[in-house]
Amino acid sequence: MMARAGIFPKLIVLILLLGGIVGLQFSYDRAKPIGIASVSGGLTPGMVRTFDLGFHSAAASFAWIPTMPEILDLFRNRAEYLSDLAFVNAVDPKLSYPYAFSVLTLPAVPKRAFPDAVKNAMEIGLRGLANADADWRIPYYMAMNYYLEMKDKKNAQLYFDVAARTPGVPGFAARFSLNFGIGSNERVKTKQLWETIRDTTNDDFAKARAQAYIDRLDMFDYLEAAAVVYKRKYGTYPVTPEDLVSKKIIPEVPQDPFGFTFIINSDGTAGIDLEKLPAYLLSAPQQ
Amino acid sequence: MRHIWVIAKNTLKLEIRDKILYGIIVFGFLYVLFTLFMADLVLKELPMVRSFGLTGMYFFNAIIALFLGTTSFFKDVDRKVVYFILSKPVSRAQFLIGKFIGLCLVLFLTTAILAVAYIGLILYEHGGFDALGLLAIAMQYIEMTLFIAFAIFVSTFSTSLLSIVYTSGVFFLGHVVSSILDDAKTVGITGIKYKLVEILYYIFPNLEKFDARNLAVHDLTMPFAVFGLALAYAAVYIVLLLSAAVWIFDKKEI
Repeated sequence: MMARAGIFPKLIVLILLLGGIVGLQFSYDRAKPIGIASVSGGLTPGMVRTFDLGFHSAAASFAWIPTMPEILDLFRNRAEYLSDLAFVNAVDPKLSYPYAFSVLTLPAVPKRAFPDAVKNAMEIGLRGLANADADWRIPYYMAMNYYLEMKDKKNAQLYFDVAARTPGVPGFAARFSLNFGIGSNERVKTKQLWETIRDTTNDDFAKARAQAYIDRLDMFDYLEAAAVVYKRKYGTYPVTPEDLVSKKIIPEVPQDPFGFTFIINSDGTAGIDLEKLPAYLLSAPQQ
Repeated sequence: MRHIWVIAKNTLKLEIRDKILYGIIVFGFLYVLFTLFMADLVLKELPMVRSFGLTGMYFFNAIIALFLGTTSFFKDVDRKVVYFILSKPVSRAQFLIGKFIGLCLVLFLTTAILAVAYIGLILYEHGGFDALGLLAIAMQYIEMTLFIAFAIFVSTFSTSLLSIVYTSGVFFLGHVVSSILDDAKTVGITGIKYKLVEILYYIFPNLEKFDARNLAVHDLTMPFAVFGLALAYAAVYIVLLLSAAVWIFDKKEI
């Protein structure tokens, strides 16, 4: 019968059949029970790594797609996200984004829904720092959590410093991290915290790094003291630190250990020029 | 050498006329386009986008290599091309080597097409040239040439369908045997069972050494010595497989 019919009826039949398929799919989607299955589907990370033909990153990335939105389920006291994240991390421990995403997002979950959200975020962050590709976002978000959620400025300083030293850190993040806590109203506390770090660490690198931050904070104090002398002599604060040199108040402008340019604000406080990035940060991605 | 080159060119011409090959390439392209969608799902995270792209490239190349390796020889037999060629002053070794080189050329073309799509995808998503991804693709290509050599070897003594089964099996085993050996060590399996896995590990084509994908995804480079050893391994294995294929084909009555 089809063979004798023209092209038009055949086309109609095909379109109707296609419509039927679409309709059936639509009905199926409405009828199927809603449930959240674990992304692992009963597989262990070891099994996946054995049988994924070497595609560990791809397997973890595919598993990450359904895992990511599960973070919303934490608002409803459903903790599949954490086990599925652990699965993704175990399949490819080097994939950094799942760690960074968790450190940033978990603290947003209300405490009544998930009391240990911040603690878990920080544990995931530490796991990421130990295993993942170098990714500035992990220490940067950890520092933010220390500062904003845990009110722990010392660790915030430490992790901002780690973020600033991570290869590939964008200019804006490095600038913020390196200049965290340099405002004149918080400088004393920042310096004390760096001194504690310097005096308690056994790591020579961390000691040297803390000393660099302390030296820099001393430079701000030095410039501000010189600016006061300048004002006493000339009635106004200097416009630039070079004015202090030209008027022989200081022999030279100190060199910032992190390469920024010092400025003197109109109220005599010292700061850094946010417009002039050090050369090593200019090559970093700017966002 | 001239005969080998003529057979290789002829194989290339014959295979690129095959509509199935175009079908696979079109699906490869569609997958790359699909990766654009996947990239949005993972918020354009470069390692994940790279892993999706390289996975697609690998599987479509593997399908192409399997298709080429397991059908080309039998097509020549079915179309009686093999009788025509061997009636000329061409040895069976020259015929098989010519076929191998021809199939490698076809695979090179398809790999290059999919590689352009992949590089374009990364360029579009991240604005950078993925040199490490290209290295991973090159390693995949070397793996696929070994795969083709195995398929040709199997084709000399088996049927078309069984060639597909054997080649797919070796492909799977070649990837999982390293992990199985590691797992056996971890679990503490010893004695004869462990030795059996170890024998498989050393005898079967060990394809994990051509996997530069995970390194590329994480911006890590393959040490030159490892790269060189992988190349040498592929070269020696291909020579072994083709020699065995020639030996079996010489004994075969056609």
